[in-house]
Amino acid sequence: MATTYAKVNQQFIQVVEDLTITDSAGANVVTINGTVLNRYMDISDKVVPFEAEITEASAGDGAIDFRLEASLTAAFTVAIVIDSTAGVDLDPTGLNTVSGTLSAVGFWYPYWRVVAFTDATDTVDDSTLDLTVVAPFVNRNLSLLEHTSVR
Amino acid sequence: MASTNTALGKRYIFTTEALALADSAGANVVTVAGDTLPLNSDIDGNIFGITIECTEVCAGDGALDARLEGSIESTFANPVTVDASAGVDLDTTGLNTVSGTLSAVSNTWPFYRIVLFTDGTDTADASAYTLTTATLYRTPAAHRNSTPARSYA
Repeated sequence: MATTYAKVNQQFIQVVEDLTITDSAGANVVTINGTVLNRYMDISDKVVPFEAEITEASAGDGAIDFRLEASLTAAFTVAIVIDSTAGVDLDPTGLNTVSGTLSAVGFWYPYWRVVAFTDATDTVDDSTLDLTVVAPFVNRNLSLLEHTSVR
Repeated sequence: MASTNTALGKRYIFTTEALALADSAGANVVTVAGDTLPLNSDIDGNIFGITIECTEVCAGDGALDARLEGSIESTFANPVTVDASAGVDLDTTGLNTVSGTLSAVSNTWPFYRIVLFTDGTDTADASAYTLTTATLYRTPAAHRNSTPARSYA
């Protein structure tokens, strides 16, 4: 799993490659957590575009969808589901791509991530995907962001 | 299809002429996509105005409307509908003009475009349109596009 960044038209783009969805081992939902979205991405109170591309297919169509999760901790010790579905249906049996959005409107959290999940169909093998997420670039002052006030 | 830009006060006017809508060949929805909206057009998070003018008529009234699409890719390989309708109803049988709005509130996409579409009525011939978009002007930032050399991790 490798993460890269780019800035395009005032948006900050995070690409995570080779997210592996393991074999569902029968009719089980399988999930894969994307990496924590970069702190230069302004996710809070935004509709967040993303794109997912299957790069290695499995034999079963797990109808991959995505949800947005947030947490107060970087480790996502307790994760809150902010938007439970992007309403997409990515077929992991072929090399294809979908785009969609997840909504963080009305929510402010310090840490965000996108989670891919299947519909419990037997995926009959592992598959991998690349996940691209976009948000406005925010030039955070990290010294303030991580400041613990004494007053 | 040719596009021009005009800065008007704090507004940025983007006009695309000769958008050709093909014959619907019966009762089919037909669409035509405008050019990618320029970087100077501040679309993110805004409601903006559009005007559509029929410059070449067809024989059937396709009740032309417009939608806003966003994409992560400049090629619009996987566009997502940001606003499904401008709520306009342009009669494609006459040389007339309508105005409406499209909303990108809460949305932030690298690339946007407007797509004209009919309601599935037989348009009974090809037709052509001029599409004008009025948004806030924003300072060009293309030079800031980059794959950062510094680490954002």
